[in-house]
Amino acid sequence: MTGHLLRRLPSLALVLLVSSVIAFALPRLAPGDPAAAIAGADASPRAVAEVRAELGLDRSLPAQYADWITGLGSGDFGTSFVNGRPAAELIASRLGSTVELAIVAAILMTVLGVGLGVLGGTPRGKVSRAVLDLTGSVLLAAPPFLTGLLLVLLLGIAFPVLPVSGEVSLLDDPGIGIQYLILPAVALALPQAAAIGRLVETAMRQARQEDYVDLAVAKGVPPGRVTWRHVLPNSLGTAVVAIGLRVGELLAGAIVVEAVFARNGLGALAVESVKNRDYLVIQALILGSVLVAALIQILTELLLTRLDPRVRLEAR
Amino acid sequence: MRTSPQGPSRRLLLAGGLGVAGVSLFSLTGCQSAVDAGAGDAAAGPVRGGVLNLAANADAQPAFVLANRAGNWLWRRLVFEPLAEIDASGTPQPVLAKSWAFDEARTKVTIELRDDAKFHSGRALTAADVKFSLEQAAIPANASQLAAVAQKITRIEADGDHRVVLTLDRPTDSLFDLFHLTMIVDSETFAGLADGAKVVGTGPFVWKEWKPGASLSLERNPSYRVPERPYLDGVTVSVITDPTALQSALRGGRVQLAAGIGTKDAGLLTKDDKFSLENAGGVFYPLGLDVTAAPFDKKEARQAVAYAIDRERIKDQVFGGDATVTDLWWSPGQDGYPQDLATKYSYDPAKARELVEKAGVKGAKVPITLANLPIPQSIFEIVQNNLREAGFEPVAEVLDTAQFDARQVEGKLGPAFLLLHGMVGFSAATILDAMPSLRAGNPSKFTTDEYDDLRTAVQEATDDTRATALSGLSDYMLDEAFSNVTVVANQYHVKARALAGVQVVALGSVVATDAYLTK
Repeated sequence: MTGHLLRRLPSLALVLLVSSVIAFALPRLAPGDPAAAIAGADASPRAVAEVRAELGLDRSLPAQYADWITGLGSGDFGTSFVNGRPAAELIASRLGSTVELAIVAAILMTVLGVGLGVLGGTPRGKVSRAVLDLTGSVLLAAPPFLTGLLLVLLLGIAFPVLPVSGEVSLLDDPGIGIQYLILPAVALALPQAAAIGRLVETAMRQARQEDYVDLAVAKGVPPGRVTWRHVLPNSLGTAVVAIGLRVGELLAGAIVVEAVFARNGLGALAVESVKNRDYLVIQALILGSVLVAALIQILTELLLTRLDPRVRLEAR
Repeated sequence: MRTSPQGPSRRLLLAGGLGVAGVSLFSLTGCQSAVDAGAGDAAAGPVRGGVLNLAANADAQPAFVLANRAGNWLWRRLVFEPLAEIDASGTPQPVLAKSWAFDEARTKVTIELRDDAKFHSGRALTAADVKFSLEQAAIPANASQLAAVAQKITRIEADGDHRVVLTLDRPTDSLFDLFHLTMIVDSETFAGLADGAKVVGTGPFVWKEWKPGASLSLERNPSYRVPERPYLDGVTVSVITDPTALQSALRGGRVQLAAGIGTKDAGLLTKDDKFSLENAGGVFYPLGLDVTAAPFDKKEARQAVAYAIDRERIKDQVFGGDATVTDLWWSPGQDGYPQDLATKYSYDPAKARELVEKAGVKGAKVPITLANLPIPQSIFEIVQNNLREAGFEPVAEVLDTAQFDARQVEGKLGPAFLLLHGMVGFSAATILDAMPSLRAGNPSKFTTDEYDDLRTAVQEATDDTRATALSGLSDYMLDEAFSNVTVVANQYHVKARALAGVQVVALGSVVATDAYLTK
C-alpha cells in the first residue's frame, strides 16, 4: 500500500501545480474589480485606485502568481482582501461546519442508499416494488434546496421540532449540534442516497444471477442469509466507488443547503468570496478542493481493495 | 506475489456504518431540544440582562467603519458613537459633542466635547481623537460617502482636551450629515480596524469576537457613562445572506431583529403581529442617461424617457405600493423640498412619443445596464415596456454586482443604466456631493457651469435661502433630465415584538443603549 501511495505522489503534485495555475487565472478571468467591490459602488475612481494599490493588485500577474506560490511553500495562503484575515484562518474557521455536515450527510447517504438498494434488490411483491420505485424516483428528482425548504417549512416553522437556522458545533455540544445538523444533512443526503440505492439494487440483481447464489439456495440457505452473506457483500464494490464520487457532490450541494439553513460553512465562504472577487480566498478554496478530491479518490481505491479481494492496487 | 488485504472485514464495515447511524439517532432523541434552547427566557419590562440576537444579510466591515455600509448597520453605532446624531425630525442632537457654535460667516465651528466619554480601553476621549477621525473621513481609501464634505474642512484644531475648532473656506449645509455619519475612532488602535483585531470605540457595547462572514459578538460595556445602561448583557450579529433563511431565522425565533429583508417580504412578515417594521431610510432608484452619446446627447430624447416612465406602476408592482413616486433626488422629508416639482414628469406616453419624434431618435437602440439584483431587474421589466412604447428599442445588459460596481466607478455604464443609492436621510447639500448619479464625475457625464453654480447655491444655503436654491436647482436638473428618479423606496429592519427600546437612526444604524428583551 505504501508503495502505491508513493507512486501516486508525482501525479498528485502535477495535478496540484496545474490546479494552482487554473485557480489563479479563473477568478481573474471573471469581469469585475476586487478594489471596486471593496471600496463600494459609490466610491470615486481615486478611492478605488488607492485600494487597488494597497492590495497589490496594480502589480503584474506573474508577480502576483509568484508571490502566491512562494507563500504557499511557506504555508501562507494569502490574506483576504475583504476582511484582512489570512485565507487559511478563514477556511479553517469554516471547515468544521462543512465537514460535520458532509460526514453526517455521508453517513445518512450510505445507510439510506444501501438500505434502499437492499430493499429494491430483494425479491418483492408488485405493490412494494412500485412503492420503492416511486420513492426512489421522487428522491432522485428532488433537489436539496427544495427538500431543504420543505423541511424548514414543515419541521421548523409549522411544527417546530428541530432548529432550521444556524449551527452549534458537535465538538461544543454534541446533543444540540446534531439537532442543527439533522435537517440539512437529510436534505443533502436524500437525492444521493436514492442514486446509490439504484446502483446497489442493480448490482444485487446481477449478483443474484451468479452460480454461487444458486448453489446457496440449492443448499437450503435461508433467503435473508443469502442476501446479507452472499449477494450484498459482492454488490458493494460499485456502491463504494459511487459513494466516493458522491462525497464530492455532497460538498457541492452543501453550498445550497448551507444557505437555506444559514450555516456558515465553506460553501457560504466560497459564494461570498466569488461575489466580492476575494481572489486569494477563492484560490485557496479551489486548490483545497482539488486536494480533497484527489485524496478521496485514493481513499476509494484503498477501500475497494478491502471489499473485493480480486482488486489489487498493484494492478491499477 | 499475491497479497492478502489487511484491515477491517466487509462485515465490520457494514456493521460500522449502521452503528454510527444508530449513535446519531440516539444523540438526537436523548438530548436537550435546540428549539427550546433557542426560544430564550426573556423577562417582561426593561430589566437588565439577556443577549440580543440580530441578523444581517451582509458581513461587518470594520475596516470601513467611517462609511455607511449595510454590513455595519447592526453594530457600528453600538460600539462607536458620533459627535452628533440627526433625529427623526432632522434636528441634530448631541452625542459625544455637548454643544456647537458657528461664527457669523458659518465658516468656523467650535465644538465642545463631553468630558466623561471613555474608549473601551479606558482612555478618555479627547479633541485629538475627534480631529483624527474627521481627518480619516477625508481620506478616499476609508470610503466615507462624505469624504468630499470632510475635505471641505480646511483646518481642524484641538483646543485643549475637550474643544475642537473647525475652519472652512466656504459655508456648507452638510456638516451635521458628516457628524452623524462619522464615528469617533480611537487614534491609538485605528490600525486594528483593518482586520477587526482591535475595534475600540466609546459606545455601550464592546467588540468581543468576529468570525468573518459568520457572526459577531459584542458584550456590555460595564464602564459606559450612562448609569444602568445598556440593559443587555450582549449582542450577537449573525450573517445570513439567503433571503429565505433570513426570514426563517426571524420566524423561528433565532433572532429578534433582521436587516436586509426585502420590502415586499417585510410587509408580509408584519401580517403576523409578532413582527413590526423599523424605518431604516430608503433607496433612490434612478435611470441615468449618458449625455455625451447618442441618443441621449439630445435633451428631448432624455425628456422623452422622463415622460415615458410609469412610476406608479413601478411603485405598485415592484414595491407593493410602499414607495414614494417622485422625480426629485432629495429625501422626501428634506427642508425646502420643492413639492410642486416632484411630479413634473407624470407618465405621459403620448408626450414621450412626440419628443422622440422631435429628437429624431425613433427606433434608437438603447442598451440599459443594470446589476443582477432582483429589484433593478423588476424595474427594468417595466422601464423596458415604457421605452418601447415611447419609440426606443431597449435591451438589457445585466452584469453581476462586482462587474457593475467596477463599471460604475469607471464611468462606463453605457447610454442608459439603472442605479440604486441608499442615501435617503442625507440632506440635499450632502446628496449633491455623495450621490454618484449627481456628483462631479457622474456616470451621465453631465457637467455645466450653471449646474455647478446652482449646486453651490444649495450647498451654501441658509435657512432663508434653502427653498429657493433647491427649487432652482431641481428645475434645472429636471429640464436637463440626465438622471431620472423612478421611485424612492422605503427600507426597513424587521423587529420581533419581544424586542423593545431599540432605535434605528437615519441611514439605518441600530442603537441599542435602551434596548431590552421582553415577552
